[in-house]
This record gives sequence, structure tokens and C-alpha cells, in this order.
Amino acid sequence: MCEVETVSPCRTAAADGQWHHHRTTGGTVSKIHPGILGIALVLSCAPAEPGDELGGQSGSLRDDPLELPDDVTTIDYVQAVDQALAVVIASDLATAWRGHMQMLESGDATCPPVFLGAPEDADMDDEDALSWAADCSVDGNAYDGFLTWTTEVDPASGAGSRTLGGDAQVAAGNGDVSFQFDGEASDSVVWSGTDFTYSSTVEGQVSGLAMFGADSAVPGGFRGNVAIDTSTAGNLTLDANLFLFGEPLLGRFDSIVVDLEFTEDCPDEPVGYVGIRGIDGYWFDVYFLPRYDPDDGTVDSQAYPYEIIDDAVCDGCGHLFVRNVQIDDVSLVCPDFGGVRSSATAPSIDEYVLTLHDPPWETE
Amino acid sequence: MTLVTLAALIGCSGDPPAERQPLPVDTGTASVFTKDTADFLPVDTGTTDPGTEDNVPDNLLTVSQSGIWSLAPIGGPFTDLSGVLLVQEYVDELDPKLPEYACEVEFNLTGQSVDEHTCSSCDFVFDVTHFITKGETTGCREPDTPQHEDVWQMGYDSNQGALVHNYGGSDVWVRWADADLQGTDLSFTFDLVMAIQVEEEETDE
Repeated sequence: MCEVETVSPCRTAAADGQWHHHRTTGGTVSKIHPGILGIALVLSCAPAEPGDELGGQSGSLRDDPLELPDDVTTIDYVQAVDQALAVVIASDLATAWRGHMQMLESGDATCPPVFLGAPEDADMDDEDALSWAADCSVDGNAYDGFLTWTTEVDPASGAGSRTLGGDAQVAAGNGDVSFQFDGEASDSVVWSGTDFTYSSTVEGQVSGLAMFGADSAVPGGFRGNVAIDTSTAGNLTLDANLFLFGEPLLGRFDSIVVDLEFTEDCPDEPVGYVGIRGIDGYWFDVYFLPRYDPDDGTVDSQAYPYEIIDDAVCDGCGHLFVRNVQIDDVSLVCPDFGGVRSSATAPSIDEYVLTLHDPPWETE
Repeated sequence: MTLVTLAALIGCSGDPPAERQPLPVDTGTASVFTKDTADFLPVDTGTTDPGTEDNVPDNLLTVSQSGIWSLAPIGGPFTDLSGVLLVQEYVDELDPKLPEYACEVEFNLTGQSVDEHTCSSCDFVFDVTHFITKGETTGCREPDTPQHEDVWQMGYDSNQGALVHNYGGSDVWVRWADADLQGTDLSFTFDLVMAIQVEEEETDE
């Protein structure tokens, strides 16, 4: 048998006479139809070229329709997508920073020891950075690891920016993780009156009750990467790939992939898609407006299944695919995008003000 | 065999498959990893963790920023100020006989009062301009040391007994220094001692 995994879009055929889409190892989706069976198979081991209508190597050959989860028609996909988007919105640096500040306030003058400069062996070169490196306890909170951070407020523009990096954990006396951060993150904001522009990137692992309580969208925290760009002008871009700790969404989904961008052309529906992975390992993807024109013939355009979505219009609703098979038995998925957009806020500028003249931690 | 399978075989003919490695022998003693990774927070064993024991710096930075505002007119309300600011920093110990500062800078200050500002708790607010008259700030490690010709909006809060600073013009007012107003003289001081990472100079052996 021909079993070639590829990261490029590809097309192959199924024996049930239906169009199918399947995700390759690169997370792309391709079309399947028996009408192109012979050619597709012969070409299935050829390298992919942009513009090649048939794509490149095939991801797999299947004789039978893909097995779908038993609950595929009973899941509340609107709620699942709404929750997934709430997770992404809540996974910005602003959230992690508040936990970071809370942990500094919970310490004393010696634990964790805050110092000027980056840890000696950390891959950083910023002598203006502040850091803590610790293996100590105070009031039952155990600090372990290191964190280093910078803040800056630009007097000319009123803009704020900050970075946070490290590998640190703070555990409460009862063993609960109050704060855990392992990775790198940065964000910046520009305020002009009540208008703002905000961007945030987080890459790593973030968890802890100081940031994500029981009523949080992300009660257990997450591992992965999140990029958010938003402003009061109406733009919102979400790019995330997250694994969730703790209870899965709806008790059913433990990972999220989001690639969404609201454009001026359609304020009610973004381009891109939301993917949620079931605990059974199957991906459930909801495709909204096409990011690429399916007729472009490029690799990127063929990585999405829009050529078989015949009503990709600006109606706020997306089409469900499960295991890359379009599910016609489930109605269109129409998330609360208005709620998503209104929940994408920005930190106030005072959250970027951190000086040694009035630090949040004890100094004596 | 169907035409489908035949076509697949033709399509994949070419280089012979790589020789498979033999499967490991089952010793029957393998242990099962029992931790649920959905709840377990794995510890990063990557190389970026610098550890902790050797990374809390041994060095201490002592910072002193003190000065005085001479306010006018006598009796107020104050509209003008002149003054001085002295910034001194040293690492670890300072020899009183031969003090050697990592940073020692003297500023002359001038200021005009500001009527429209956002400090609700301030008795008065000035735009203060800093002029370096001696030394340079390049060796100063306190990140918010003023630079030559910086203009800062600062106010006096008698309830706090402090100078406050409109940080970066953000309208976020931050306590900046302990302050005491006696007549037309307002003296202020900020002292800080904190650990600092000092770059070790490479020496030729």
C-alpha cells in the first residue's frame, strides 16, 4: 500500500463515492472523489507544487467511509465554539501578568528575591529587566524557578509594552498550583482616550488559580501558543493552538486550534476556522469565510475545503467538518461573535507601570 | 485485485522501502505510566532553566536619589521652582574614605506649575526639567533615572508625605520619593537596596 504522510495539501479518493476531506500531518484538508481515482493514485507520490490542481502526495487511502463519533449530531457546537473562543480570549499575557503581580504581592522582602537584571544563565540580555529566582516559601506559598520581565511606557505616545519569560511555579500550602508559567510572552497597548490597540502573544504553559479560577474560561490553564490582535476600530485576529489542562470543554474537547480574522468586508463573520479536538482524538472543525480563494490553485488555497462549501457567505455561521468530513446532518454553527468581539479588551496603561520607586512587592 | 489497488501499486512503485528496524523484545517488565497528563503539569526539563541556587545574585545595588525644591513665591500658591537632584549608586560596599560610585549624577531642576492635571490628591503639580550639571547617567542601573533635559510632571501629596510622578505621562501617578515641605523648601529622598546581577568581566589568564 501507498502510505505517505505529507505536510502539503493533497487529494485522494474514497471508495464510497463521496467527497471527503482529510487532514494531513500538516493539519491541512483535502478533497476526495472517486472520479479522479486513477490519476490521483498515480500522482499520489509526486511532490506537491503550488498550482498543481491535484495537489501532491496523498495522506491516506480509505476503502470505507470514515468512522464518525456516535455523538456527532448531538453535540452543542455553538456552545463548544463559544467556549473555545472564550478560552483564547482569556489566554493573553494580561491574564498571566495579573497572576505574576499577585505572586509578587504575596511574597515578602526576601522571598522571592527580586533583583535587577536577568538570571545568569537565562538566554536574555537585558540588564534593565527585573527577575526573581527562588526556591523558597513564605506564608505557605512555595516559589520555585525563575521569572524575568520588562515593562515600558512610552511618554510620547502613552503606549505600554511588557515581556514575561521564565519557568516558575508557585504552589499554595494545600498543594494547589497558584501560578505556573513556563515560556515567553509579550504584549503592547496603545490608548487614545477610550480607543485602544492591543496585541498579545503567549507561547508556553500557563496555569494556576491566581489566574484561572473555577469561573474562568480556562479553569485548568493551557499549554500552547496564542496570538491576539484587537482594537476598538473593530479588527480582531485570533491565532491559537492550545491544549487545555483540567476538565475538557463540554466534557468533550481538550484542544483548540483557532485561525480567525475579522475583516472590514464582514463584521459579522471572520475568515478562517475553529478546530476543537475531542478527547477521542477526532478533530471537529468549523469553517467560516474563506481565507483564500479556492480557485487560486495555490497550496494555501487548497489547504481548506472551501471549494465544497457552496454558501460561504457573510452570515455569521460556519460549516462543520468532523474528521475532515463535511457533516450535513448538523445545521450551520453560528457562534456568538458579537460576544467574542466585545470580550476582547485591553489592559489599562497603569498595568504597564512598574517602578522600583513603588513596587508591588515588599522591599523591607 | 481491483483496478484501484493496481493503480495504487503502480503509483507507488519506485524506490524500495527502507528496511524496517526490528521491534524491541518484550521483556514483560515494562511499567505503565500512571499519571494522567490531562491533570499532571509536567516539569520542563529543557536547557533554559538556569536553576535557582546559584542565580540569586550575591551583589547588592544601593540607590540614593535626593534633592530639594525651592518654591516661589513665598506664601504661595507656588508657580515656580528651582532645585537640585543628586543620584548616587554603588554596588555592595562603599569606601567612605574613597567613595567610588557606579553612578553619581547631579541635576539642576527648574519647574513651572501645572494647573490642569490628573492628580486629584496633589497639593500642587509642576513640570520639572532636569539638567545634568555633573556626571552622566550611563552607569546608573535604576531604570527610571531621569535623563538630561527630561521633563517630568511631578506633584506633592501632603497626605502621603511624598512626591508623586505622572509616570511616562500616562496619567498614572506613582509614589516617587518621601518628601517634606517646610516653608518654601521641599526636600525629598528615595533610597533603595536590591539584589543585582552584575556582569562578570572576562579576565585573561
